[in-house]
Amino acid sequence: MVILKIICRSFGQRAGRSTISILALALSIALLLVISHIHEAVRSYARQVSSGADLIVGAPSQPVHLALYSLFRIGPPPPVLPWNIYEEIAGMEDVEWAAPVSTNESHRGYTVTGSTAHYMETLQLKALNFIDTSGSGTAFRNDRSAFIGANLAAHYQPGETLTIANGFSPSLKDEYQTPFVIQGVLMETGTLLDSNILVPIEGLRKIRKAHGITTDYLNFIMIKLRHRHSLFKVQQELKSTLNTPLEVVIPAFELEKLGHYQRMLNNVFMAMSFIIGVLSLMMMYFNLSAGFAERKQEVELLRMVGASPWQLAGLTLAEPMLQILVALCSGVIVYKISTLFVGSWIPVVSSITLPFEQLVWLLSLFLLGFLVACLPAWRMYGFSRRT
Amino acid sequence: MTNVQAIAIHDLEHSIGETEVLRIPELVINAGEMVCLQGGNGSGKTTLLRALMGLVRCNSGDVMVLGNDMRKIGTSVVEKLRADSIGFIFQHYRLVPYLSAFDNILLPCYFSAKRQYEAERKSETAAGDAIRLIRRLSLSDPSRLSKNASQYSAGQQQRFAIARALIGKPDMVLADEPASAMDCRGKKAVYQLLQEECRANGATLICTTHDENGIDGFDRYVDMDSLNLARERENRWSF
Repeated sequence: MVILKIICRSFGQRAGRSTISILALALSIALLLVISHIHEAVRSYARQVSSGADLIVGAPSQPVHLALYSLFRIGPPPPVLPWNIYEEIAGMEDVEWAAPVSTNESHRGYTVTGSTAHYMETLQLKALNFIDTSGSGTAFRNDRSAFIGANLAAHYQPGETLTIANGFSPSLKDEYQTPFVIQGVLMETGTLLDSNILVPIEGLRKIRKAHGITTDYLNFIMIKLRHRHSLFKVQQELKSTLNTPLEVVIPAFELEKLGHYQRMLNNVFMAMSFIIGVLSLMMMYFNLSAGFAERKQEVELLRMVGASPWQLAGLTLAEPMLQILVALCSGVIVYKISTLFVGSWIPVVSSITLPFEQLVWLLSLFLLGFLVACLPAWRMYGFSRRT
Repeated sequence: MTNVQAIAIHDLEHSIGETEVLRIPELVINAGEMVCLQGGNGSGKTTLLRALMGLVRCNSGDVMVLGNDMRKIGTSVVEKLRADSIGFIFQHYRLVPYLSAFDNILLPCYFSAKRQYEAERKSETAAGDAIRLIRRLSLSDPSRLSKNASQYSAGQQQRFAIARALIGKPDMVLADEPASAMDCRGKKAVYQLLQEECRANGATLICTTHDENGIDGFDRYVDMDSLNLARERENRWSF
């Protein structure tokens, strides 16, 4: 019991210096975990979203750009496609469904996306707050229904109407006369889709016609195949047989290419956090070494009253190990709190649990800490034996 | 007084580097005897006590402490000997600064079952024995021992160090200038307590001091200048 008391009191004696080391280590642990978590969450979200559609068709452009815009709205919209392309694709034998997507209309600066329920399903868009009479959170009730992104929720309520206009800097003559009725508010995704208004493409086409726009246009088409083994065949077919030149991308492939850079960036962050952890362990070691000289008399006294070299070595080992454990627990707590906060802004972040492999970083820091703690303990053992 | 030898030294020699610090041809102290080693600074008093504790391994000669040959016994036996049988008072008292005064006094009982048992036998509990000892050291309020040791005055700290050495009835008490931080009244109380406790327990007491006068009650006074020939030779050389 007295050994425990000595450990605690001795720890308290050096609390000031120890706190800095503990804070630095806890911070690096929290950083490691948060970075791993965000990396894993983004990867998992991208994997889920990209697996919803087998192919994405757009006007000729950069394949990565097309994939990023169609899935996450990153970058400017791709050039438009004529409507008949969609009809030809939807009529193909291998195609289970095709979702046409148009992003050429706006409402007070917010992009209006015209599409179908398949698009909502693919991007896992779901309304949390919606009018449930003869409607749902995942499908349009009628041609004049609209879902608004989470960022618009402060300004609009379900049941209210909104009018849209052609283009992003519309004049009065570009305003469509028929309004849409807000059916629900979509769940936050953490992407630019949160600032979008989602309307049914059929309703959008009718309103365009009513406004005198005769040619329908699309920005891209998402395709789900009946059988995944026909992926390359359909891709080739779309590129070669249709009269219009097209870009046909496999989203999973394009995201995998980006995944390489994402992993690289992630590893750099992880390495930086790990270095902070190693530095804080070194700080801990120097603190212990500095305290070693002033503890010599204390050790001699404890040896006089019967403490064995093993007990004293254990005492010296216990202090940094206690610091490391406190730092580990604090780091994990900070990580948990951070993911709660980040999760409230970006829902995809809170939807995963960290895989066990990511804890290898923690384990290696703990083992490194143990080795660092063993050095002064070994010196103490040697000194005690000579006393 | 019995004739069993508590300490027997023959032809003891110890050097630190080139400097010879101890050369004692013979010193025998019987069990229960109370001896005062007197000598000036650098006369080898502290080194001799450290040799008797097994903290210093001498170059040659025999050192027998409570029947143990200090040059031959293993580390674990020395550890046990110190913990169970020897109470030591350091010149600068050396308390663990972050432990309470009470815990400092009780330290030997935490590490030695024998001393714990003896303290409990004497005053029912080890804590009770600590209070008994501290009362005898003229501490004004012995109940207030919960503060950290470093918060007490030098004189009080020295009293705690003395109580720590006496608790649990050790067979031998080695005191390295135990009253150096005290006034005349305190000094008298310290030596009196050491002598009374050791006499009551049949323990051997060896005190060192550089004071020439006013120290009474010991069975024998040994002048380090005549005991330690290394010192004598060093003195001769310095002229």
